[in-house]
Amino acid sequence: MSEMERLYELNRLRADNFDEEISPEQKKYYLELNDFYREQGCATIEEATEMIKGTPYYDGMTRAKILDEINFREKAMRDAGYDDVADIHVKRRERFLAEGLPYAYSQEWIEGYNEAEAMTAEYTRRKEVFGSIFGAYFNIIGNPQQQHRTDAVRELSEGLNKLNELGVTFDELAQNRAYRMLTMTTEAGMQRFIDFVHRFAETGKVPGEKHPDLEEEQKRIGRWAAEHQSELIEAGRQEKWHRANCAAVPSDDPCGYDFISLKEVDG
Amino acid sequence: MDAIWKSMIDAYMSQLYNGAPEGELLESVKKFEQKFIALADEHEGDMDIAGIMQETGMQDEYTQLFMAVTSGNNDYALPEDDSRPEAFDYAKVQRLPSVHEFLDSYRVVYESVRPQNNEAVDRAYEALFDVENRTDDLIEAQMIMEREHLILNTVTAGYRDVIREFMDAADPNYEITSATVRATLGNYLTAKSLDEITYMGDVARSVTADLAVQAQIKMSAMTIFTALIFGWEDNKKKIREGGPGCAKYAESMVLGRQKIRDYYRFLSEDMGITFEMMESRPFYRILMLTPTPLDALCRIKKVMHPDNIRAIKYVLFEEVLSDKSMEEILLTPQKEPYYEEIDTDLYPETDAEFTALAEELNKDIPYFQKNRRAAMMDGNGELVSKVSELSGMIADPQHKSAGSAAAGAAGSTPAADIKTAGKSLLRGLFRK
Repeated sequence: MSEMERLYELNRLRADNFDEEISPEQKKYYLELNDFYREQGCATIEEATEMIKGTPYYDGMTRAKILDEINFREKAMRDAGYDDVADIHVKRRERFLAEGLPYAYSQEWIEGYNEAEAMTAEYTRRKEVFGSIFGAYFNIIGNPQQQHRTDAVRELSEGLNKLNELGVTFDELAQNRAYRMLTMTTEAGMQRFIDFVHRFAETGKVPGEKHPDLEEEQKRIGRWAAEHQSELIEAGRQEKWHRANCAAVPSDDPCGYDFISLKEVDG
Repeated sequence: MDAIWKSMIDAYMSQLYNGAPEGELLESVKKFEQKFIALADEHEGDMDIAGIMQETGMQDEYTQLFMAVTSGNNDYALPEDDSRPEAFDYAKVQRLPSVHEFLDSYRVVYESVRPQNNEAVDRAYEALFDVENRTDDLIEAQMIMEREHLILNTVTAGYRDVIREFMDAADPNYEITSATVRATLGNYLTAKSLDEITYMGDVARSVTADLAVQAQIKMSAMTIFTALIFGWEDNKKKIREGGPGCAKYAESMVLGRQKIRDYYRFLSEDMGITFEMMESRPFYRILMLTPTPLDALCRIKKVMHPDNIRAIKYVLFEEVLSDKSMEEILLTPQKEPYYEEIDTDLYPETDAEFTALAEELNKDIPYFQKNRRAAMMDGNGELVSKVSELSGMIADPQHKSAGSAAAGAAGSTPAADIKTAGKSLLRGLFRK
């Protein structure tokens, strides 16, 4: 293999090691570099080294790397729902395309990066608080233990206060995709969450656990059960009320586990 | 000696000697101390001690010694001044470097990590430097490095073994750990470029907050759901036993039915967690059996009888959500038996038996061999902190540099680029 053919092979290997989604510019750079050398008819590496001076290929790899970095940072932020952070990277990219490497080596470049980082950190802080508010709502809605629900009401209140301290409202976050994705709710579920928090913010109260509409029915069934004990006990004789435990071990079974060492005792 | 210099030297050196260095490391510490004293004598009266340390390179040397001491790397020795590697300067020397000179740029990077004594990283750098023994042709050397991902390996090596060990030991179905690790650290095993690592770092930082909250939500959701079902079954069982409490338990079942209906509506309509999902997804399925971890990563779990899944389905659809009256439900024998957990007050040996079983099943797994524990884990909070420990290993600031100077036509990758990219690791993966 000639010297240049080996250089082509090296550049092709480099291109292969760049992911098309994450590093397309660098991938393209090495493939186009090979095309350039072929078009110029370079015979040796020394010739190739001289040939690219004064051409866009000379610092093209650095420019490609910077462009890929801005692009994947923008993509990561866009995917996360951090659109304002993604927009910072868009502005950095626009300036880089207009001004080139001098901008990329400037203090303003680093300041732009730092601004994006600071905003990302802010998202993380707010997500923690928003997550705690949703977690509190979750417990209020469903936790069967009164004490946990009482604690959750306090946590909900603390969470809303914390948002005030962070200088942001619940509604601002609830409308933002980044925070909505955190909760895993359906659209209907998110709306019910928002409505619940609004009512709580206005009244300081949460729906009670009591079901007055059921009290009559409860008394009726209670009386009925007392009167029909023998039939209920008889129905129970056809059932099995044992206790058991076993060990679950991850496996290739479609249910995900093998269940072994079953231990069963009378109830 | 100037009193201020003396107190500074005492403070710096005590940090090193307190780490009990031995062997070559101790010798390096002593030599450094001598250099420090000589520097103090030379700069007596000059109070800009930090600046002088920086300019003379003594601060870097101190940092390296400090890292070696804290890592317990007693084989580490500071390189002699004349044996310090220097990066090949293309601008100064108008020629292509030899393979050895080309690798010097990476030797400079290695000097900054060598004190930390990570065997996997040392091996990765050794493999990189060994390229000069395999070829003296620069192009061939770079082709070997590309094919074998030798540069990438120096960045990921320190974490790959740990991550692989963790993933081999963890339960792939247990989403609160596996999903988090896969989403954040899994790429370390598959990435082909440093850009992929950096990109993953950015993604991870936004994803981990979500995953932590969602893990808690999933656990809470299933804990509450199974607790409500348990309450229903427990009341029914007590009714079957008869006695004066029968009426009270029946009344509880009326309220319990409404609670289960309301909660299932919340889960299925508001959270999208239907019973179909619970039944089909291994993670939710196992949570229906109220798992108790039997090891540090919750790989093996003590669970209820697996037939309880059928029982829960029966209770939910044939009883609670159905149009049947309470009378009909209570008079109809339950077709699918529901097994409560074994009462460990009556059978105290149960937990020890299951723990011993888990130890036996895990005994050949490297993670557990290294982290053998006698005590049982305390719930999933500790499990999440175990994952945090893992990710804390790779908490490092992401690089900010724009990149390095333009490379030559031979396209040799600037090592400075690698140094900064090499520090582009995941940061703050998990909140502690």
